[in-house]
Amino acid sequence: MVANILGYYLVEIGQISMEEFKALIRITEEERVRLGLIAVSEGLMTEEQTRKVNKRQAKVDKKFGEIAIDMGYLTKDQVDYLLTKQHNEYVVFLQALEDMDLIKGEKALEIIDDYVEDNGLKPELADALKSGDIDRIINGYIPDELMMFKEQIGIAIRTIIRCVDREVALKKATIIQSLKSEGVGSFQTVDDADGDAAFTMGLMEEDGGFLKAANLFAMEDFHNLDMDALDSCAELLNCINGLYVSMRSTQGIDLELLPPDMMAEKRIRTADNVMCEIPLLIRGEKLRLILWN
Amino acid sequence: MAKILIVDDSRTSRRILKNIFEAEGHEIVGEATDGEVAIEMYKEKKPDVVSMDITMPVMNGIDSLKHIMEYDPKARVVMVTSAGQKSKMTEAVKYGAKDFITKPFENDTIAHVFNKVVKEDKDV
Repeated sequence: MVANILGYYLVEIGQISMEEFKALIRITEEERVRLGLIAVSEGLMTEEQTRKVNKRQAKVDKKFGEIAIDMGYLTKDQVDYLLTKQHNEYVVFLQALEDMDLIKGEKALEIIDDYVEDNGLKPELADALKSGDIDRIINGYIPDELMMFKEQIGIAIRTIIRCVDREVALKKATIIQSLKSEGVGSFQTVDDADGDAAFTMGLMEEDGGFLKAANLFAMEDFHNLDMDALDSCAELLNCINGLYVSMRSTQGIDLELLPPDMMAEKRIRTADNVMCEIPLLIRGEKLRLILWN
Repeated sequence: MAKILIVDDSRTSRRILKNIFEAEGHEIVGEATDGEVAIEMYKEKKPDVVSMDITMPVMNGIDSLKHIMEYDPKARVVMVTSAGQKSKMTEAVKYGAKDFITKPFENDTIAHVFNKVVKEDKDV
């Protein structure tokens, strides 16, 4: 994620080319080893145990290490130890920039602060990006006035990383007044009896990202933004919202998933309350995550 | 090998499930996109097992399950739910569902659950 965010920023400001960006991502992918693999190689877990943790991870919105602790396979100290073995993505990114002879030294270290400042993001995002902590990173993109959507956005991004592609970048969440559809999108409403906790989440095409997400999630090769592609993203939303509903049920709040809605025509929507948009990039291609209550 | 009827309004889900079932050597005898069509297909195709999504337009999976169980008390229906629909799963089991699987799909889990349900019938 970190390499995607900072790498794509460098493309946007003309410091590196798209080809160099893709090469950077390949290098950082190769360097980053999953926690489960490290646990097995260190003799702390068996492969069967990692499979069980991965299965559970598909159903609850928790990190691998947290689930392994819950299931009694690892202790917190062991998870902390394994995390020290996992290469920090920001460090790997800087190393890759240097190895590719793109940006070095002081200039490389300034990228993160320039990125935060240029994009009007929270200052604490710089430290979050350096840490590689996904939860802290995601929160850095949500302005205070949109914190009511923090949980949904967090679950959405983490589920996309887990079920679509690890190479996700995002941009600052912003309030929008209405939604004018000039393309395609899939939406799903999560309802509750009182209407207090209800919201609608959608994924909308921007510049190739919706089709990319549809293909990666369904493991298919759709060529057009047709009903198959819309349906794939609708199912992705179903998974995201299902995890959110599951989380809320542990807090004693019962919510209901309504059947997804797929949109392939121009339509205008105006939210009753607050509507926000989070631009996403999946392997450099854009789509939008939309939320309103 | 079992004859399976897949009921889900999502093409993506139907495709993924079909691939998993066929890889296990099962035969897909039909695909229904809502609970109402599922009832008619059940009567016509007489599948060994039904994979039934819960959240669907026209008629949801729970209502469809009730109708199918009324028609055939020995019907074997496995519910497909999203995470967070525990109350629906409990309700489904009360109405006769044999088991359930959750989305996002895990191939091994789906194969295990369906093979177990198929085998139960053969043992009876």
